[in-house]
Amino acid sequence: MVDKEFKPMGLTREVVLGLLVECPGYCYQLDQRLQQHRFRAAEFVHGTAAQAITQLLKEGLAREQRSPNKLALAGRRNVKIYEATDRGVAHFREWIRMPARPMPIREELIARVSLCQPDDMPRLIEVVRNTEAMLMAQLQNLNFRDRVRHRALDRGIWETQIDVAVSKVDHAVLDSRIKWVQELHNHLVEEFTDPIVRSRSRSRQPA
Amino acid sequence: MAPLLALHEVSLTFRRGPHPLQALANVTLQIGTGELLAVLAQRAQGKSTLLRVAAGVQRPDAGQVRFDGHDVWRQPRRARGKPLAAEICLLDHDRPDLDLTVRELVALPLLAHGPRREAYAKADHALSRAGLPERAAHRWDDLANSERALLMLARGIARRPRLLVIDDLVVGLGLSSGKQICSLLRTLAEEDGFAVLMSATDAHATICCDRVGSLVAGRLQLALEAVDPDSTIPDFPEAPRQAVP
Repeated sequence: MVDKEFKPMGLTREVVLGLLVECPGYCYQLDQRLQQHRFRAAEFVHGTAAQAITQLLKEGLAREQRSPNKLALAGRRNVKIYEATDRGVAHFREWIRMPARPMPIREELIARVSLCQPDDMPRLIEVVRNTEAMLMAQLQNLNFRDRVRHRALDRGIWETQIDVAVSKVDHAVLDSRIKWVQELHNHLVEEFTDPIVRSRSRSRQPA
Repeated sequence: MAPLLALHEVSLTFRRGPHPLQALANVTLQIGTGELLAVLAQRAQGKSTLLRVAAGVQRPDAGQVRFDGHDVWRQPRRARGKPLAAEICLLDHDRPDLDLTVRELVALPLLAHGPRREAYAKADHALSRAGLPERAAHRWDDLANSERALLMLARGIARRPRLLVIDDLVVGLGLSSGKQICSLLRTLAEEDGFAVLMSATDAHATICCDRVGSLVAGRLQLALEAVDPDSTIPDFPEAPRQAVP
């Protein structure tokens, strides 16, 4: 779960706009593209594109396509295909180039540790372990997706280069989070569990 | 189907010195044929000990180590030693003590088990699979770090074990070299059916692995199953909430 306070606001809108800049589409198709995109955002569930499109239409960044489209000609007249307006394209280009926001930092876990009482510690260690297991699952999935994408034959040079960049960064981000949680776990275990484990840190200190 | 290797509630405490040191605490894991499992851990968390226990080299204080359905430490010594050495290969990145060529280093463990010509043929094949055929006549000191890791891997391939146990082979290597080794491990698992249990200190070294686990203070935490492969990396996720006992 991402804390709302740290959630990058407007990201969904920008990403949907980016897809429309790439190629016009209808809502269901945009949802599918969101899910399959290398951006891989978990918050993009079914209906995300429709919400973003409503906002983009209000702001004049997207519009319904005026020219007849293949789906409408095929008899599905209720299908609305959207495209980015010139203002939308300019806005998206500007967004791509703007300075990045600071990285969201999750401080909740460390706040809980700093405020806890001794009888909270067993539960906190469990929470840290669970966090570790979830990070492991994310790493496992990231590895899986990378292997699948690596084997896809229909990717162009640009797609491949971007995939490599995203994969490297994803691994680096996960790596730092895993190390952070492992370090916290190790410290809590060494300081707050049975004496035989506590001796780990002491036995490593020079005599 | 029974897993190839299964560790059940394995614990090990080193009692030498003034303070006992718990190296492994109730570690349970399973690995099947053709599967790659990485244990991600920082230094001195028990990963080498875990690999030694998994390879049947180190006896645990408690728990079971089962290979191919048999409890390794319940078998008589003679029944355990040689067959296990043929089935499990433990690889690390220590420098070999002998001043031999790459080809000789790969062939050496095979010479005791068959004719010389056959041993060298297997060594050549292993070097070719590892992508090192042109380095066959060189010595350890002539090799780059990534080539040394490939050499160790070739030593494992040549013996054709069912389980490769690899101790942080890609440590200190750059991303591209690490990726090359990971990709080779994946190929070995998929084409030759090797199972691989490996340790790693960095997340990118696990890219070839089907499963990953984290080892902290001798405690292994395997990944939670059934996370959506299409999910992104959220910010620090909340652990599932359970009632405090």
